Amino acid sequence: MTGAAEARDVFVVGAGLHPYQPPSATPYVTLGLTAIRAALADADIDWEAVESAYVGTALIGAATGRPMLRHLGATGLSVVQVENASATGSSAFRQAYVEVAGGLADVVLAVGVDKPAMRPDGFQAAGAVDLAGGLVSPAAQFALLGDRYLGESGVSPAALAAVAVKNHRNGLLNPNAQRREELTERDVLESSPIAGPLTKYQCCPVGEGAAAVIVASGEAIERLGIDPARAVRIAASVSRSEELYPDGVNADEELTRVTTAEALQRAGITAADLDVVELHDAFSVEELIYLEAMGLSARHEAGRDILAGDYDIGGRCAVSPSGGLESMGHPVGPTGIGQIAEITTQLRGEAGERQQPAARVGLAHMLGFGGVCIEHVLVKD
Amino acid sequence: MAEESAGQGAAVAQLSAIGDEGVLSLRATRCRRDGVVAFPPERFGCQKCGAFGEDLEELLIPARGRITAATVVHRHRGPGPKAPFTIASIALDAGPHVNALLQEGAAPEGDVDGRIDRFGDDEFITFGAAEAAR
Repeated sequence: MTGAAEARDVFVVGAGLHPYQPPSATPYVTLGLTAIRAALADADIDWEAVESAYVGTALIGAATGRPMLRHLGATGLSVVQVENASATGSSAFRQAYVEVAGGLADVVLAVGVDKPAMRPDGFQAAGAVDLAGGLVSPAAQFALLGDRYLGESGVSPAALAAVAVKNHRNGLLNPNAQRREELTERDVLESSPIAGPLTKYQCCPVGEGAAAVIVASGEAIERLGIDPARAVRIAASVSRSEELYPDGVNADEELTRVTTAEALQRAGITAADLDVVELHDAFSVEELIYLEAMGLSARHEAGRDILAGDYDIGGRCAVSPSGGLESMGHPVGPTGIGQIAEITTQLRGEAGERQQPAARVGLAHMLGFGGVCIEHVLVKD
Repeated sequence: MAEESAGQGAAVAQLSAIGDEGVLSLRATRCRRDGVVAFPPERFGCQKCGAFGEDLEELLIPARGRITAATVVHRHRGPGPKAPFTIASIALDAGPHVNALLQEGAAPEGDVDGRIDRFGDDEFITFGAAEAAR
């Protein structure tokens, strides 16, 4: 916690998206510029006010920032690419936060943009091998976790389906969501089997898109005449990586537990204070496990709570009101920033049909292959 | 075939050894400082304490354990067996947990031990019901 006391307050002042969608011929530059221009318009500031940019891209390749950002005007601002697997956007946002909190800049952009591609990863480059040799896809990995969770908790596959039904119902109300389909429990359970209890609609679609957020200091809000009533404060920013857990402990669950505890403590709140949560629901079972790890549901009770509507919009805490990764989609680079955009919209009370009533406190959670966990708490004071 | 050397067969050679009596063992490392047994072997350094070099000793552990979870993979692209097949999480008797392919028809629970199976030009270490104590 050292250094936290000296950090300045940082606010989200603008957010914009390019809808998440299946891969298309649209250049990534168009995706990114659409989101950035929307974020600038939302903040009602000029590009010239932006001093620094973090470009979150995991799959496009090296040096993706300048070929895109120069078309807003080559102002000479700092440009850095950020990669952190699925948590790429979350880490780009955190770097923007850190730069303003540390007093090195007043107005910083975080933009996530990606196009689907397969890239070699660090484990491969390090020569890591295992017994399963490519047979365990992410879906299979989480199906194994699902098998264990269903066995230990006595939760029925209907609760897994309920996660997908809820998130698709939310996504139906989100014009930026990739998979907008009205689904019943039966539709979910009878869709194509992928691995174990996970069917097609319980696995997130990976497509393309962009999300942009502008953060600013209190001084900049005053100087640039930004509407303070629409500024949302970043109350905590936490980034952690996996530790060597005891044999058999699920790393993503434990990492989520530790990271959330630190984020809540830094924000000075408890899980019960959360009105809105956007979490890493790449596979349905993850939502149940992380709701418990975050302390929102008691152990083995998340399934019951989902079925009771606790996490619906209008419930005690709206979880993945954007549609989450399952419905809004998981274009990788944009995903974590899209979560911040959704929470900002919710806390401003501007989410329209998706609005969680009286939302004041939100938490964004992303895990990245490796593994890393990045969380942010946003508060409307 | 270039693909074969980069396939799972190369990993099987790195990860296992067959003893005098034809019994399959797994190649692991043990940290001399804190006793952590790692499989797959970790020769770059101990994840718990950072010890490296001479502090990491090679050892063989039995390819034997107990299934803690299992799942049928319905969709799979790439080399190896054709879907559907079953993947199990196995708590090895020596401590580490691994994910591995279950042999066709093997029960997805209980004690299992490993053997090397061929799939076309490639090979995998697969697990199935443990034989009586050897």
